[in-house]
Amino acid sequence: MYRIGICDDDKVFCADLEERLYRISEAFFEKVEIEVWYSGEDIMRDICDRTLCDLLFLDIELVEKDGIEVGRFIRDELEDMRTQIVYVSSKQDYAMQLFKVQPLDFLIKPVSDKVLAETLSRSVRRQKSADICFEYKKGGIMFRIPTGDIAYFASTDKKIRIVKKSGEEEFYGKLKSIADRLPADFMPIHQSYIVNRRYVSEYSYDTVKMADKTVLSISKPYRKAVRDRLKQFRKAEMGDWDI
Amino acid sequence: MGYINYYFVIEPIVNVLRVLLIRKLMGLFLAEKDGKRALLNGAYGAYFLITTVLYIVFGVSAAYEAGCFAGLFGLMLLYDNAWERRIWAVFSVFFIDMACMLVAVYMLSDMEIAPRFSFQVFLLLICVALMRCISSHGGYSDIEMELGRGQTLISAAIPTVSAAVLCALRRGNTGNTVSALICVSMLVINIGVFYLCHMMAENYRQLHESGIYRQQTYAYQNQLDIIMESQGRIRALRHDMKNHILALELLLQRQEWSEAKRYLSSMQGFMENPAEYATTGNDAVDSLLNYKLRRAKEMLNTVETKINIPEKLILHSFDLNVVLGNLLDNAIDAAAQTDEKRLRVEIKLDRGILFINMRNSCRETVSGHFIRLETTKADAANHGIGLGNVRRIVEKYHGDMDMACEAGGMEIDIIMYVDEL
Repeated sequence: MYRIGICDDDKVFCADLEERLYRISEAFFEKVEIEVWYSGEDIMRDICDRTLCDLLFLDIELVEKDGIEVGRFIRDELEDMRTQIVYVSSKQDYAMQLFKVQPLDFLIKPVSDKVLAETLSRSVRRQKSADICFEYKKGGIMFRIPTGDIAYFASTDKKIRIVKKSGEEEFYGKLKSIADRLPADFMPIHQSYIVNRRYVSEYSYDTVKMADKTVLSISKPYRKAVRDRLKQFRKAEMGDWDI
Repeated sequence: MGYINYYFVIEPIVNVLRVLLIRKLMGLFLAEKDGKRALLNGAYGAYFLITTVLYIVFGVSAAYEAGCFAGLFGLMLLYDNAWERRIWAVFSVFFIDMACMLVAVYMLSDMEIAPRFSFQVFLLLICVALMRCISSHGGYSDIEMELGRGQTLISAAIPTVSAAVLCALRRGNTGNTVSALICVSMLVINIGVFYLCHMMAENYRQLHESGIYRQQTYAYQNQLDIIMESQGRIRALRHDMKNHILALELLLQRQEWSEAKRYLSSMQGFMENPAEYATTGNDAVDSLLNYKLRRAKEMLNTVETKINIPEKLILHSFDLNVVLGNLLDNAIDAAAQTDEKRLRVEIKLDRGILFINMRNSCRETVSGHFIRLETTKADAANHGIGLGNVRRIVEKYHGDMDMACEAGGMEIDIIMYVDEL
């Protein structure tokens, strides 16, 4: 089941978008659930005590709590990096803070069916890679963690530390041997770090800042490879927007 | 016997220093690429071994000089710069090394080999220090970009001819003092020419920069016109708003939905300024894109843009102008030569990284991935500089630039790290 949220104070727009999303999403999911909020306060109150949707269409210019605040609330307060946020607006000029929320995309009203379908397919692609599980053995027992919950791997001596959205795990192993088993979202940036790019909040050429504010360094031999990976990611997400 | 032993120790030590200086000197002319550093280390090691052995076996002789030259030639092959530039480097380095050696030979002719060789390397050190001083003024990459092929070749001719003079000097019977004087003079001339080349490059650079600033001014002028036009349209619409509302009300009363819809879309059409392609709120980007895309729309059939950048971008507007301006110019010109005449521009900021992707239709003259692209424009000396400048700025932001051309389409990908506040 795929959960989609819409948050916009324009009720006509919400109704139209909801109806079209039901229709378009038939091609992608068996079952879809769409929830609508008309104000920033509503959605912020609702999502405090339960998990949010997989994909959220969020208006930027909401009346009191605007799209920036809602986005920041989801990412910073709830530390939810999984919900994919798509900003919707009738304007094309964006404030810097919007980019910090790491939106899946920016859409300009009116939104065409084609653009909606593209957004959905991109969202599904992202979701799929987050659902793959990572398996490791500890004390003879097999453990499984969804890769979407893993922020990064760090190796110290013979152990690998798994830093998750909440908490950490540790097991004996080598980073090199697990690198091949991870989905494409994971990228080695250092002899002893493999990061999930969904949890990176900012890149510079020699460091990455993670969502939990940890700064990891990209060691020299990895920099070129990291640039290439970033370009690949970018192109993969751009793919369906061809001329 | 004691002398021989002492010489065998001193010579390699001093030669290490000489080879290091030669590498520095080569670095003033040519760029060392990160990926080739290990290879170069090995190559300079081999160069050191060969010259050490040659010097010990033959002393200062034609064989030794030939060996030095061949070695430099081999080293040059490992650099990626344009070939005329590499030739300039080889001859300059060879000449300076030779001149220093001959000055030492002529001035200290009655001394032993070891102090003579040390003095030679000391002279080389002075030359390298001087030239580094000169080139750190303009920076190496400038001279690379700004000097055309012809100018580089002429610059290369001077050390080449100088080396020939020195060879002639060795064959003749000129006295030691006079020979040393000639060698020193030739050195001075060559370093002087090196200085002038850098000055010339600096001038060219400033000329180009002022060209970019001029273009930026045009772009801002254009943007100002667009903004005035947009505002004028909105003002005009507001002026007639009462009438529009009345008309719409009437249509709604009569339940003429499709007519009302048409009326609304015509109002929107009236408000939109056709010359305003980019409205990101980022003045520098908007003005440049609007300025360039106006030309694109005039010349091409399909122009698509997708731009997601914040109003404030921590990137020098000059740098952005060089990158976007040059790339757009190239893409528009290339696309205009084809039948499809397509252009697509995507600019996106994501977590501190600026991505630029440009695709355009192009004639199939080149294909595959490449680093350098030859210009197809008639005035070759003054073109092809643009992409070099783009690359320089991309590198300044620790980024990367890829170009690929296949199946009648050209694609450029750029990534730059932009510090966010």
